[in-house]
Amino acid sequence: MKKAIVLLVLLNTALVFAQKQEFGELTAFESEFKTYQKDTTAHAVYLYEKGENYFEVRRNYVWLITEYHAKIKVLDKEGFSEAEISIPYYHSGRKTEKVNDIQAITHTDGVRYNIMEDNVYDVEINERWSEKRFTFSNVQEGSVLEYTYEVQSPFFYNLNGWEFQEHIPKVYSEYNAKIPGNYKYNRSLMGQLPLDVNEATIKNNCFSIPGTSAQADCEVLKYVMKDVPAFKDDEEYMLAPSNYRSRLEFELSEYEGFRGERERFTKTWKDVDKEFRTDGDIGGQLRKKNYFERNLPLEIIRGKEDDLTKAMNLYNFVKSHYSWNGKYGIFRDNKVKKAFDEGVGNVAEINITLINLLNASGIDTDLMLLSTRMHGLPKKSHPVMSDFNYVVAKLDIDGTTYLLDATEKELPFGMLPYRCLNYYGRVMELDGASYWYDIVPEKSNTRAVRLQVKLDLENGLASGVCDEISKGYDAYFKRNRLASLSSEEYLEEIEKGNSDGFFVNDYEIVEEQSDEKNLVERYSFELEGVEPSGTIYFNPFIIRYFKNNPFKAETRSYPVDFGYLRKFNYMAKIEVPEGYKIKEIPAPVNLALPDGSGVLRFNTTEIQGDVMVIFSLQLKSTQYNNAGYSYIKKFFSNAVASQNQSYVVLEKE
Amino acid sequence: MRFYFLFLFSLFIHFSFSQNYNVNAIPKEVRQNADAVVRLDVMDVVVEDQDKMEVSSKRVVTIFNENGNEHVHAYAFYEKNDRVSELEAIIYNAQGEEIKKIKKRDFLDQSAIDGGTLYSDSRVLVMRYTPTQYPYTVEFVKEYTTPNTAFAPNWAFLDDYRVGTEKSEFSFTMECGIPFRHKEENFESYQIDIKETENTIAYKAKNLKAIKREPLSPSFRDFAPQVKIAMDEFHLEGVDGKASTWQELGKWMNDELLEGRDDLDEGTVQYVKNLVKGVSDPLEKTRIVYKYVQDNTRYISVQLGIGGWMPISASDVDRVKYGDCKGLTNYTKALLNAVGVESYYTVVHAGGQMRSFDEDFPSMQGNHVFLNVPLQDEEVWLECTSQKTPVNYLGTFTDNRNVLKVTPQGGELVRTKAYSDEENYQSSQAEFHITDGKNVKGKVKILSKGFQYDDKYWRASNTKSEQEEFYKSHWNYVQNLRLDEVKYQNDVDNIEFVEEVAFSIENYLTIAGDKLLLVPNVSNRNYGVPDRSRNRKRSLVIKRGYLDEDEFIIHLPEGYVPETWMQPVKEETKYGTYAISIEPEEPGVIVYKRKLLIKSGEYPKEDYKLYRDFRKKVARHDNSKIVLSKKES
Repeated sequence: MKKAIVLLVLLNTALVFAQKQEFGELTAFESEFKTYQKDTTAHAVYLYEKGENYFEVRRNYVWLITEYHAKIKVLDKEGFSEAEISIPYYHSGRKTEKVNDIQAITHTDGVRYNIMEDNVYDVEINERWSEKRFTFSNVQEGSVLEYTYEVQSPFFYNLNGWEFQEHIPKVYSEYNAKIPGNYKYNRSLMGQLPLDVNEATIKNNCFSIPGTSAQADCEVLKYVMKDVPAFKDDEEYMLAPSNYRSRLEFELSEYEGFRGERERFTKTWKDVDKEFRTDGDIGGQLRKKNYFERNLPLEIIRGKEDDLTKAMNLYNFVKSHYSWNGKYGIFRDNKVKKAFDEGVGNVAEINITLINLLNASGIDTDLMLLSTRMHGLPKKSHPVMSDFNYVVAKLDIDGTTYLLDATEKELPFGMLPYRCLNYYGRVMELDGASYWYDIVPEKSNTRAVRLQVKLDLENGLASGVCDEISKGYDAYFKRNRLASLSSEEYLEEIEKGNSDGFFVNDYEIVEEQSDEKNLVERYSFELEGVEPSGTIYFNPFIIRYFKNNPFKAETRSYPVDFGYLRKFNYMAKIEVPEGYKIKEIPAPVNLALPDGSGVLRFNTTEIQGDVMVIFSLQLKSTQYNNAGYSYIKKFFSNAVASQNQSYVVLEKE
Repeated sequence: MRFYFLFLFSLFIHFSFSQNYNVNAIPKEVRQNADAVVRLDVMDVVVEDQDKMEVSSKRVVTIFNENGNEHVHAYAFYEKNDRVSELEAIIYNAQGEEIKKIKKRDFLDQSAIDGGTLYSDSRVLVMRYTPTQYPYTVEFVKEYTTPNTAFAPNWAFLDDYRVGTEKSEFSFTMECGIPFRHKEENFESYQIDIKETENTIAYKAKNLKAIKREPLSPSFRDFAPQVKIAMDEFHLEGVDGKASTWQELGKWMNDELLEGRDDLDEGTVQYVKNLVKGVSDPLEKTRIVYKYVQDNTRYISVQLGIGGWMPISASDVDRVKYGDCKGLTNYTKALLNAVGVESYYTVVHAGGQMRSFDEDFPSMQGNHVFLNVPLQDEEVWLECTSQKTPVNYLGTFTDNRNVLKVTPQGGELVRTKAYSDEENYQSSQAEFHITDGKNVKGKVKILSKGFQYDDKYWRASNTKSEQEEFYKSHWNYVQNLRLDEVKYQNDVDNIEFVEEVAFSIENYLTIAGDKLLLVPNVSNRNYGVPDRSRNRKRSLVIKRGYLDEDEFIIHLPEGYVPETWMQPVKEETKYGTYAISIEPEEPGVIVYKRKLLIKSGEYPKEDYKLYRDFRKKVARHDNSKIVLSKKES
């Protein structure tokens, strides 16, 4: 795992160079800017962007103020979408953030067009978030869109940092903060781009509260990045874009009041562990053992079976009892008892129920916090609670560790859903110290097909029997499809997944060879389009795993991540029709990725007059870094070519 | 444009009949092929005044699986002046036992802004419920009052594909004596009771079977039973109206929604007059003004109150240089007016479905507006929301349908242009060289017209990486594609788009021993085969036909000749024609010619399989290979 996290070393420099820009004025550089040579594919570019955070007393309250100022150059018509601006603001209970002093100007051909205040709309997004929305007027190719606003916030934890890298490039992006010494924030620089300016100074007596004599010193911070490239994140097989996008992250860790009182937010894991035990949303919910003992058939909990069987029974019970409402909700609104009564819950409620039940039945089970693939990798340097968004159960039985998630009905015992395959999590012991624990996905994940093929030249068909053997995640995904589709739809999906003219008959699941992690399907098939002639060119891949190379981009700036190890096997025995002989078979392919992290084999042989085809592709690592991208692209390109462009040539005797 | 808020007004009263929501009580034939069954759907509409309509409804739906969830319809859209007085849902399990009650205050009250709209004051109350078991049943009661009688509720006896209906009842009562019209559609194959008195019309239907979706079939609304209602005097967001003909409805729109909204300040008038200085041809003037609009404005949607139907004024658009379809159309109309070209605001059902305004049933309809410019020899159309659409290009968005042209004299239904199969034309001409015995390098020139132009012209400003992405997916049947130079030429006057694409493909040919396999159709394979349709019930509809003509000159690798010459293929069917041939051009060079014509039309259901067979043949032949072998020396 490459760590994309660098902790900032804060330097005390006296040099603060200022690039203060007045709102409404363009510099010579900005008004003359025509094209962005560093990225000619960009439709728009930030010429200048600046943000500042500081604290201020207004009407006897301390507020966190965020100032923002941006100038965006629209390079072509596709860039017009940048003219629609949303400024999100947060509210919770009776407290709300306020967006003040929105000003916006379109600079077009030296003329300025102001946006009127009544063209700014207020839109609620959900219970906690709203947006101020507006759009610029008189936008043309070449316009510069300039806007500024201030957010006044009572939520000090909303000092979150700064996004240096976004979907369009930036010429200059600057972030400032003036933080009184009594507020402490953890900060981390994410991504791979370096800061061009990284300054911290101390300003004495910069902050005071009326009515008190105390004065706080402030830390004055300034960070700048220049020529930040756009971040493109629509590639297949990747972890959360937030792992790689350059940004500065702040998290409130501690507050010290003027009367010496202290409030710590995130701190050391030791503090977190202590707090966790009493927290109402997670820790507290873990102590509902008695409730479940009262409300559950006793034999489920106090069964006589061995621990593993008991754990499996409980796991299946929770899976079938609950419907997952699609939410994660780990830090708020968790009500395990209520959820249990209704049979509907979020991830935390369902898995905390499971943990409670396992503990009630005498199997020591801990809660593990983790972050989903799309949420990003949690920072290991210090506890950042908002890095986590998911909980699962962790238990050991006879020396084997199991991670359990009861939200997905088809998920086998001991496997986590794909969304959870994000490398590591933090195990929170109710009575001991928490620790990092690696998520090791199920290792045996295979798609394999075995075919017996006959060429029926009279009817222009290839026909035969196919066994599809799926293991691990491949079996789980298929079971999900089977559960959500009618059998007719499922067969149509198989047919459509193959070439046109492929028909499936007599489909069955071979139950005696199938279990949770294994699925064996058997069917007979017909493939139309085999034309009898003196020489027959027949592609032996009746079922193809890869129609196209999933890696289309020429380069990639972040790793390829498959989540779990993958293996694809294909084996076909093709009977040579009467009166024909084998003239040509495809050349063998033997390829390996560097360090043997992937293997591709394709071999065709003649055995007793039949053609035997064996193809296998194996990925022995879940992640390949960007330096290896060209290899993996080439590797898949070969796999696609083998499947699509191989022919067995048969000739009339 | 808020015309589209013709969402199914599933709205409603209290009834007290004995209920049996046990799933087993559903007749078998209604349940077959259904993801959901509407057990009961009752709506009573009472018009108390021109600006007061009370709607009470009760809807009970049983959901059998996840796909059925979207048919619960437990929500209430509302506008500022509407009042939702009653809203409640009760959830039952399969046995018909109550498992949960959801009160009005537990509904989520949120803004009904859809994507693409900057702001709208429409709101919606949505039931929050996660199903814990299937099947389950939702009983949903809703009552509301609205002043907006311009949209008298319509009624559909069948919701959608894969939804059956056990009992559906609808009544419309006029208490204030305003004349109203009703129209029953597709009642022929259904038993629906109609009861009409002087001021009420009521409908009752029972046990309607769920309908399976079929590919390439008529639109659902063309065969599903439904009722339309319209009042001759109505009200809309503070504005009264009176209309029983298209002429009158158009007149009302003109007088109440458009009149006086086309003033421009003198500076702007002078400015456009200058633009067309010395030009007398109205078409040329139109081009100049339209280009000015396209270069200077963009589409932004803001819908507030009557603003959902009334354009923001031309002078406002002139100031901010943006607007929605109504605002931009009205603005263009004002500019054209300033240069002496007459034009008309026109309301349409936009979209690929070619939905027409009903000639016999004048009522508020449509979801979009655009501009009609009647010139001496033709009607010219302008799509004012687009910065790219050429003058008089309808595309699949507004082609071939009845639309309502609004003139100061009143409304007029006119039909927009239909593109013939041959007008939807694409020709590809290419020359390819085979290098290193396995790679292809060459250049194709693709000319597109008609609706095929629609797929292309908006790509004119694509960047290199977007082109790369596009061609890799457009020609996804070739691997290892590398683009060289790409040139686009968008001829907006003749509405033709030309792509010149130079590219190379590594390992295009397959080596089989000492032979080479070559698919001569390098860049226009059509693998589109419609899905199988078992026990087809409805006719085959091909909404738009097209014609492709291709000619590829292929330079064979040194020392190779075709082993056998492919026999020409010619398939003539009533749905279209397909022909390919390969001929030697000179030694080492072959010419591949291909023609595919698909004919639009409606064909009997029995033809579906034959059409599918035809498309399968096309797909197969487009993929067929020729074998190259070493020249005997």
